[in-house]
Amino acid sequence: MKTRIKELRARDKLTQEELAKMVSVRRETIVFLEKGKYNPSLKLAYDIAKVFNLQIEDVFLFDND
Amino acid sequence: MNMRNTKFILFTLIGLTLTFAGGIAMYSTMTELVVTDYLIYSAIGLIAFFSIVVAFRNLKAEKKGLIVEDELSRKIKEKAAANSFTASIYLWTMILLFTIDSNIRNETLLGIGIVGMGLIFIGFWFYHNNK
Repeated sequence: MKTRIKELRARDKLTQEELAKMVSVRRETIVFLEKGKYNPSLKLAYDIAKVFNLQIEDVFLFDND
Repeated sequence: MNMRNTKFILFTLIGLTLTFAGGIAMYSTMTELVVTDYLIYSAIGLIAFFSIVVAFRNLKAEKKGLIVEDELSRKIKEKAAANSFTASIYLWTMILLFTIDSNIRNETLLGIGIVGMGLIFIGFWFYHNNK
C-alpha cells in the first residue's frame, strides 16, 4: 500500500512529529507509514485522512497486489 | 503510560542495575568467577542497558508531548514476543541436548536459558523495528 502522507504533510507544512501528535501515535509510526512498511488500523487511517481534510482512499492508495 | 510511570520505571531499572552490579562485585570478592559467569553477567548488563536506553527514549518522547506506545509499537512487541517464544523452544532444546552429560551447574544452565530468551527477544524487537 502506498500513501500520500509525505506529500500532504509538505502541502500543509507539517512535520512528522506534529502529525504524530495530532493523531496520537509515535513519530516512528509516521515514518513506517510514509515508507509503506505498515498498514494502519482503520481508525488511524481515518484520523490521518481527517487531518488533511480528505477521504481515506485519497491518502492511502490501495493496489490489488 | 504517563511520564510519572516512565520515570518510576527508569529509576527502578537504574536502581536494580546498580544493586545487581554491586552484588556481582561483592560475589566476585568471595569466589572466583569463571567464563560462563562473565558471559551471563555481560548479557544481563546488555539487557539492562537496552531497557534503560528504551526508558530514556520514552521519557524524552513524553517530554515532547508524544506518546510512547501506539498500535505499531504494540504490534512489533507482539511479533517479537511470538518469534522469541518459538526461538526459545529451540534454545532450551539445544541447552538440554548439549548439556545432558556435562558438569555445568543447573543454576548456570537456567541462567543461560533465561538470559538467552531475553537476548533473543531484544534481537527480534530490533529486527522488526528496523525492518
